Amino acid sequence: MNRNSKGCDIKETPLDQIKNIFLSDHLLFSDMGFVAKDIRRGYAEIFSPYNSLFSDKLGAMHRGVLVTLADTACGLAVFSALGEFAPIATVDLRVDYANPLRKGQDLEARIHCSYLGSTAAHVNGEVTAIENGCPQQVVARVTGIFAVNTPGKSFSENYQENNA
Amino acid sequence: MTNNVSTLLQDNAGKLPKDWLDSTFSKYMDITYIGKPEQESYALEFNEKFIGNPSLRAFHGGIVATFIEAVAQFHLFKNKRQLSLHTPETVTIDYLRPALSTNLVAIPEVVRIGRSVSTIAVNVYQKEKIVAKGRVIFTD
Repeated sequence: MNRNSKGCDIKETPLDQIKNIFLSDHLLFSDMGFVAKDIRRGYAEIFSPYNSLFSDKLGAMHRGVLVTLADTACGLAVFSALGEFAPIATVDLRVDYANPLRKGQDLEARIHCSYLGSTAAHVNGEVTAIENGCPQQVVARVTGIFAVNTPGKSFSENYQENNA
Repeated sequence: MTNNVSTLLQDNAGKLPKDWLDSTFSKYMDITYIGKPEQESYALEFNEKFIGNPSLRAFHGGIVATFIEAVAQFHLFKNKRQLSLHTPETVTIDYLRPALSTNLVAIPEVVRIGRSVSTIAVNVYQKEKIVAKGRVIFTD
C-alpha cells in the first residue's frame, strides 16, 4: 500500500477500474470510442478508432477528436501519477500538429506525466496515426499543465454516487 | 440564450465555411454564427455529450479547444478571403475557469495576418465571464 502526499493510504488504480469509471460510463468518451490500452504510473495510452461520423471534409478523423483524445490522455496520465482520481483541472494545453491524418486511420495518444508537484502536474506526449494496428506517422505533439488537488469532487466519488 | 442559439442555427448555417459544414464532425459540434455587424462571434450550445468532468458538469477541455480552433479557422477564412479552411500549425489554450453547463460564446480577433504566418486569438465566454483564451497559428 502506498501513501499519497497527505499521508493517506492509496490503492494502485487498476486498468479495469479506470476503463469502467473513466471511459465506458462516460458519454463523450463512449461516443468517440476511447479505449484505455495501457495505464501505468505517470503514463497513459488511449486509443480512438476511426469513425466516419467524426470526420473532416476529406474523410479523415477530425482534429477535434484528436484534441479531445489528447486532453483525455493527459488527464489520465496525471491521475495515474497521483495514484487516485483526485480532482484535477486542465490549466494549459498546447497541440502542435505534425503530419496530416489520412482517411480510415485510427488515433492513439501516448502521454507521460513528466512532473508532479503539490499544486501542478506537467504532461507531454504524442498522438500517432494507427493503420491495421500498426503505428504510422506522428500527427501531433502535446504539452499540458494541470492543476492538481483542486477543490471539488473526484471522478470516482461522482460515479460512486451515481451508481449507488 | 438557448432559444436564440437554436433560432440562429438554421438562419446562419450559410455563414459558416462550406469546408466545415461538409465535415461530419460539424453535425456533432453544432457551432452557430451569432455575429453582429460590430463583432464576429460564435456559440456552442451546452450538451450532455460534451461533459468532461461529470462532477462539475463542465465541458471537456478537448471540446473547448476544438471550438477555439474551429472559430479561429472561420475567422481567418473570412479575413484572408480564402477558398478553403487553413489547417492550424499549433493551438495553445489557457483554461481560466471551468466551462460549466451553459452555452459557450467565442469571440475571435486577428492578431496578425501575414503572407505566410497568421495568428488568431479567440476568447471564450460564459455569461460574460471569460473561461478560456486560445491562440491559433497558421503557416500557409
